[in-house]
Amino acid sequence: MKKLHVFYLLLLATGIILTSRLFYLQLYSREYVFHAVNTSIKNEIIIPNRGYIFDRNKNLLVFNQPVYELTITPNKIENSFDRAGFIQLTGIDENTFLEKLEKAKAYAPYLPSSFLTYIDRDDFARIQEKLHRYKGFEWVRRSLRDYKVKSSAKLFGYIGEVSPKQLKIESDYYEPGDFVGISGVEKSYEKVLRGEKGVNHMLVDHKGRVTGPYREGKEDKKAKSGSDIYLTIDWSLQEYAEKLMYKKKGSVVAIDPKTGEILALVSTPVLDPHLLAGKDRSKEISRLYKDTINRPLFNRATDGLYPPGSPFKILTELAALQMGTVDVSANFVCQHGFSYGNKKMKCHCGIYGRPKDLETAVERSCNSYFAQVYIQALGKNSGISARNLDQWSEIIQSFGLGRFLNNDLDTGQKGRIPSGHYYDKQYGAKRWNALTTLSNSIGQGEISTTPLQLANVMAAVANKGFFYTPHIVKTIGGLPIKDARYTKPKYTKVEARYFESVIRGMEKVFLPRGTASEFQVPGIRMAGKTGTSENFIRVKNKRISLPDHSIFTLFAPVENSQIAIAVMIENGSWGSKWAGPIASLVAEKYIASEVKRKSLEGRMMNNGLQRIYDYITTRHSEKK
Amino acid sequence: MSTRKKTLLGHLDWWIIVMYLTLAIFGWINIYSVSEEKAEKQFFWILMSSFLIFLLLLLRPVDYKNGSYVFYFLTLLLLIGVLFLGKTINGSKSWYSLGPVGFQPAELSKISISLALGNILSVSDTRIKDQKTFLMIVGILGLPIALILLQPDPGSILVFFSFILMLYREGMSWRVLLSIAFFIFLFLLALNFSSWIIIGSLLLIFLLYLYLLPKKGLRYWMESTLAFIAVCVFVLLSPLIFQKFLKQHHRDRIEILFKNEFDKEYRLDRGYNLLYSKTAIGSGELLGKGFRKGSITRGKFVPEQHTDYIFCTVGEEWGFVGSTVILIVYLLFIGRIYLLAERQKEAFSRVFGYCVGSIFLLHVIINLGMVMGIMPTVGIPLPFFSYGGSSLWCFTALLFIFVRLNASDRSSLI
Repeated sequence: MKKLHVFYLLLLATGIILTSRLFYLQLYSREYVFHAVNTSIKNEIIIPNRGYIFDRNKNLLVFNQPVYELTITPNKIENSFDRAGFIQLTGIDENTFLEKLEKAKAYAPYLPSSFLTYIDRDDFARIQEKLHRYKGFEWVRRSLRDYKVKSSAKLFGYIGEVSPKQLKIESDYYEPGDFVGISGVEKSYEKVLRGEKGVNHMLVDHKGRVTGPYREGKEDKKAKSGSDIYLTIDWSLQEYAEKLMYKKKGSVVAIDPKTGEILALVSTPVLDPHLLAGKDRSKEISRLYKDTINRPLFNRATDGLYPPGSPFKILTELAALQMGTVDVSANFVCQHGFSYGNKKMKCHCGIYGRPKDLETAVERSCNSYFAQVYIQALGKNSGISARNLDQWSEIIQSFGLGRFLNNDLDTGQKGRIPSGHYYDKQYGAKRWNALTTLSNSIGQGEISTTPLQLANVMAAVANKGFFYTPHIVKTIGGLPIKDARYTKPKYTKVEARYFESVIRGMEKVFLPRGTASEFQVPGIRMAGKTGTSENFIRVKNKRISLPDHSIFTLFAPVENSQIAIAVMIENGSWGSKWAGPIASLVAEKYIASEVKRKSLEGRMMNNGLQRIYDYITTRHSEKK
Repeated sequence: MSTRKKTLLGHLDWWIIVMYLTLAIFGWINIYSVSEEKAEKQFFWILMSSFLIFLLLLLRPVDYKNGSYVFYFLTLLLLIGVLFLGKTINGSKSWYSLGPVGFQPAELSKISISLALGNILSVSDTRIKDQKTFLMIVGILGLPIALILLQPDPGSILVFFSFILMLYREGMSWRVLLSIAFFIFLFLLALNFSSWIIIGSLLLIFLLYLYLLPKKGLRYWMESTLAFIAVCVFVLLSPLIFQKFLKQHHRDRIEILFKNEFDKEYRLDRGYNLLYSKTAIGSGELLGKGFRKGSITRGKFVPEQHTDYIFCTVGEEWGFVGSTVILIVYLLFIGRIYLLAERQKEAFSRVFGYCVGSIFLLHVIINLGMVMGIMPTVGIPLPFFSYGGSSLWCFTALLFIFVRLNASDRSSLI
């Protein structure tokens, strides 16, 4: 071979080796592309303003306040990092520094993650001035929530740092340190309120200094502000109801029957939302969480399950009417109660020994009457009770009970309206009948509902057979919500004609002989129903009775109703003691704007049940 | 005078000149992308080099041949002088500093050695295998090498391997080339594996070799065994050479090639250059990011990017396509030099041509190998691409002396 050809071969070999290397670096390997992006292009994330929250009358409730945050990119920290200076600048101690550094490294050494949060404007100004000395640390501006009001924290919910779990699910949007809605409206409307993050791509040089936009900003994305939300809540009503609930645990729910809009959603004890937004947020939340006696974070309006008591009698009757097992003219006799087998269901209706019609039974809340209606509906024959109960409970469930409301609240409970299957499992098939389950007739026993569900039942009764799913948001970004759930009526399985007599009976509740006569509102026709819900706790498998819950439901005015209300006061004894007056005051406030019954109002606003709660707590703990 | 120039222009090899211009212009474009200020200066150097070219073309081939020894001794004087007068940069005295202009006599030695070797080997009947000739060649190469090692600038010495390539063309055994390659391979192997594992493997190969070729007589056996022992000693000594004769930063530059440069332990100091030069090239992908749009180049992440690391800009902004095209132009350019050298009637021109081709080739291999991370960091420039007057002039001189020699050879045919 000629020597020249050996040299040609040498050139060919050089060409092949260097081209392969270029191929590997430029076309095969991806890590250099990533590394180039990571080091020479800085993504400035622009966090949009979170949408504000207003009430239905355009009163601002929730807005934003800016806070600053330091982020760390562990890989960018140089060996010459002046730790002592940094610690002095930020005022954290060395151990915290190391801890946070380790945490950031564990997340992703080449990505920024949150290092120091909740820096206020003054501190930030001081830190920002010197931050360029500490490579690897950068800052972001975030907005925290601030509130115009001092209550209803559970309604709004709160925002906090995104959890690792959610971070995994929505990794394409959230980054560690981002704030997300954790509960309440903040959670259920997170996507509406948060808007869309924007990003600016900036070229940086080897010293980390920004030198200009990357590709003239062609790949930048503008941030989209979150939309403002107008709640269905009437803040003046909400606040008024909260005042009436002074030192009482329980809830007040008010719904506009014509739309399903929730006008008030109160759960007490009242919780100040400022507690959940400040610097000590997480400490405060864990303190509230640990308070198992008052359970201040527990939303009693949506999550509290209680036996509904007497208001449920209305549904017992309506279901039986629809089933055709009784008619509106049916009369039953009360013998100071209703005896069956060796048991007796007591009754204090005051009309004993003579036949009583439906309206009077509702007016006087006669246990005996509705027990007998229930027996008519189910039959004493254990062979057919299950099938009849299925039918009865299906009708009652059509009022939104025993199932989730499936609405825009972040919390909610199904409650329980038992079916035949339920008792077949408990007692065995054909081994039970109407008498076995008689407590159901008066809303005790296995029946449980939430206050929100109960208010919705009132709305359905007011509408004579249909309701709109109760919801909390009226407009988003100026546009009314269009979801069919909230705009199309849901029909119950009870025909409109069956409601007449029941409503007449409920109206009589407010008349002189009725259970709510004391808090009738002059000039407003109301239909209501008191309730007293027995309840107990189990300690070491022993049932211990506690003072009854006080319940009241109403809608008003009777014709063309504007509001349906359910009030529940834990351990407030009978319905007309606390729940009734409060419900009537709320209705009066909403319909008449001004409350004339100042002494009743004053009694509610200045008296509470703290002594009873303390008594229960001490006795409870003694038993333990 | 004018008639001679006309014939000369007619006999210049325009292929070479076109490729030279392509490289110089594209190189300048890339320097411009890194730094406008450097590009302005480089523009001046390129302009000035056309005067140099004019001067080089004026001289006759015979002048180069006759002047070669004088030029060689002048170079030696400059190499000695730099040890006393040179400016110390990074612990080496390699540069004369004349105001704003730097000048590296080692660059000059490439030209003068090429000319001197051409002169020696052009005497008729010389053979490399003759002892006298061999010793002269060793002397001509050895003196400048020794002086450069005193600076010390071991990187520049690497380019002297190009003369060995030329010597192979002129009759040196291929075994020498192969042995050098083998010893470099062994040296690198010894850095990464235990000496005993290597010696064990070599022993196995050696025994197999003896078993397969048994019929050669005692003398052959003795020689093979001696060679084997020499190799083993080299393997044992390699780590020692590595530790004792190379400075820490030289060792780092070799060791980092076997490490992951992304590792935090290296990425901020020892591996920094490597990491960012590979990042710049690697992030160019197929078509590159476009002229002056390389984010690594813009952000000045790669140190010395206008000089030794200029190819990073090509990789980042012109991508795989641009890089491969430039590589191919280089290889065609060098191939053309070899082809023309082979065609020379005069031994002096041929030897000089092979020297020039090999010097360019070594620079391309070492420089591109370095920026791509398959060669240790050695501060040598990419011919016609890297910023710097001293190296540009040196490469231009090498090329155009050869262009002149080539033209003259052809004109004698007419």
